[in-house]
Amino acid sequence: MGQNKTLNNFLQKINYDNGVYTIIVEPSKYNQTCSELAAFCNKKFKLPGIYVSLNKPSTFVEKMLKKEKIDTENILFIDWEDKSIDKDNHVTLSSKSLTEVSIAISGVCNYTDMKYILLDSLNILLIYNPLVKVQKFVQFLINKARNLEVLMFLIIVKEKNADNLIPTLIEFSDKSIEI
Amino acid sequence: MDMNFLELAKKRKTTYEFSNKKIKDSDLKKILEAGRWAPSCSNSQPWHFIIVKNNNLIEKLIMTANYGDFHNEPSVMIAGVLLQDRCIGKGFACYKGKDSGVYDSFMSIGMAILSMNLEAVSLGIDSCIITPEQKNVKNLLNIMAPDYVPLILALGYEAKDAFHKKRERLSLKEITSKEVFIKHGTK
Repeated sequence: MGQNKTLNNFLQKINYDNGVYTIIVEPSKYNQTCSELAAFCNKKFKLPGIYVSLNKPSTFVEKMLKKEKIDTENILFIDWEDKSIDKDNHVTLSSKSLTEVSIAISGVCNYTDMKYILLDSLNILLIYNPLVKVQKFVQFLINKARNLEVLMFLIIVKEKNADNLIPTLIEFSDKSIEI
Repeated sequence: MDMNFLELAKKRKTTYEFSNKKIKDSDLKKILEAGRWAPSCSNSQPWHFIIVKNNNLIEKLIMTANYGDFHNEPSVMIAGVLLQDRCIGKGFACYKGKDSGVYDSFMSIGMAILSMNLEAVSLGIDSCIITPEQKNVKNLLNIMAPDYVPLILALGYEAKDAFHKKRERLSLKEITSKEVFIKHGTK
């Protein structure tokens, strides 16, 4: 398990079959939390999962995870940052459209049984879209995760722009935690 | 818009992001007429169409598309309701007798929605077809069991710079065989 006791305790108490969980994280603990969460999913389930990396290139995330000795073979990365990737387990989106994120997740889940979806992080959506649209998108994604019967982790960094989105996440998630 | 049928069929696509531009009532009437004249098993016409223009309700209906993808709001939605009492056979079959395992009335709704969809395309109106989650959609539209809402047609005009999904189809060779079935592999 990782070093973050709060996160570890939280992850011990969730439903491993399905559910939607919001992780509200301080900027200083953000990268470490993402790694520990991915490590937990990877080791606990030993099943394929999706890492939606909206905040940074997925190549960076993959390196970060490998450094933590996480086997990334079972992880499918979706990002909209890195155009240079030509690997089977990387999907690069062509635009910053919420619809495209949704279509990419559906596409992957339709053809492979995924155990979990890790969304890192929601803050960036607020830069490109109005709050109301992001709120709707989040509700939509949560419904989608419940229908697909996958675990979904929504990561949001505790920043000023996230203040109005966090209540929505808490309302629609099964559980949430502040780290 | 002047185009032949194949052009029309190829032009139909799913629109994900709609603008605020409203559809004219005269166009909406033509679209509904196209649905009215759709084929149905034994001419059972097992349908009822609910026209939704209320923005709050449209927002909620969009969210019932759990198996679809994220859309912003169209200006009109037409919910195709499948009326069980127009299906005289077992389940949702439209004829009496043994259960064939194929529920024609669901297909009838599909044909009506497609007719409306193609009429919309011919009028230059954009669209998407949504398969709603039943419990929520029935609550929102006041539909009682045992009726169903298999499909909703969302109509409007595509927003500027809207996201476009790559359009691709299997080749004719891949999806056809002669005289007997030959499977050519799956996508």
